[in-house]
Amino acid sequence: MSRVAPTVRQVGIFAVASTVWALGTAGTATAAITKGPCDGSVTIRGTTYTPANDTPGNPVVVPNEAGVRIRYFGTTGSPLHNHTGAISVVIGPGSITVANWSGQNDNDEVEKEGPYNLDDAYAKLPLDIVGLFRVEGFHFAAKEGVRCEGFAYVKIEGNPLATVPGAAAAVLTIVSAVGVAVSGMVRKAKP
Amino acid sequence: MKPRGRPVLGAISGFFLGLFVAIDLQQFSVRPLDNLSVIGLPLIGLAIGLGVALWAPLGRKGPKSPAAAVGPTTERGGAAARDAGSDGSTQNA
Repeated sequence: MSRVAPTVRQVGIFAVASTVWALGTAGTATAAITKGPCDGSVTIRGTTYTPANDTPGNPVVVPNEAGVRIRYFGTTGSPLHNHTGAISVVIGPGSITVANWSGQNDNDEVEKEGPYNLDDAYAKLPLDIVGLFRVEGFHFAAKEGVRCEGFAYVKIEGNPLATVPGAAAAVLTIVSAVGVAVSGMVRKAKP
Repeated sequence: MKPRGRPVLGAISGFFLGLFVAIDLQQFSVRPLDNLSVIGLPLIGLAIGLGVALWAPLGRKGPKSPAAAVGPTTERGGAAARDAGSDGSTQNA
């Protein structure tokens, strides 16, 4: 199997985190930046993803491999201080926070870029997961009262049937379908 | 409406069928686990399971054969003739 257990899972998550963080730091409003002056991007294996990757059909694609390094870029448009931020994966009406940050920004930084090892993100995931995820994030500066929000879709590549959650879901889907079929059988009349 | 199948089993199985279909869709990168998937699909599955149980299309007896329906009027063969023969042999013995 091409994936290394805890590595690949979090690639997607931090790809999201990077993307959304980058999203949470720039000027031009794009599709997935729902609030604030922030913007950003993430480059994975030569492909640059922007806030425009905001539909399930146009996600940020994360390879199912270990040792992948991505490059992120984000800008806030103007210096923001006493900031906090977080990135979370949406699960139904709730969400799971996968990354957060905070700082004073004493250097008055407006943008930030650098590499990130996706293995670090995968190491935080409890299970080997693949598939499509909606990731949301925000970046809030308490001093200026500026808040950026955004989202993106992340697709972690891989064969779902080769993972425990995917295989279990497939089997349980069949079991449930059998249950529905059995419920539709006429009961024998009691004597 | 009097249920002919198993409504409780249908509702529970349908609920979980919808839930696992939602997970399958997420795993196969068709749709993320949003509100519609996590809440909507199980409810739709529950309704379908309940409907199938009330309808109970499986295991129904088929229509009676023409011979069985006409049985009593036939002179030879058929259920009526067999019954008559059976009664007669008992009497003869």
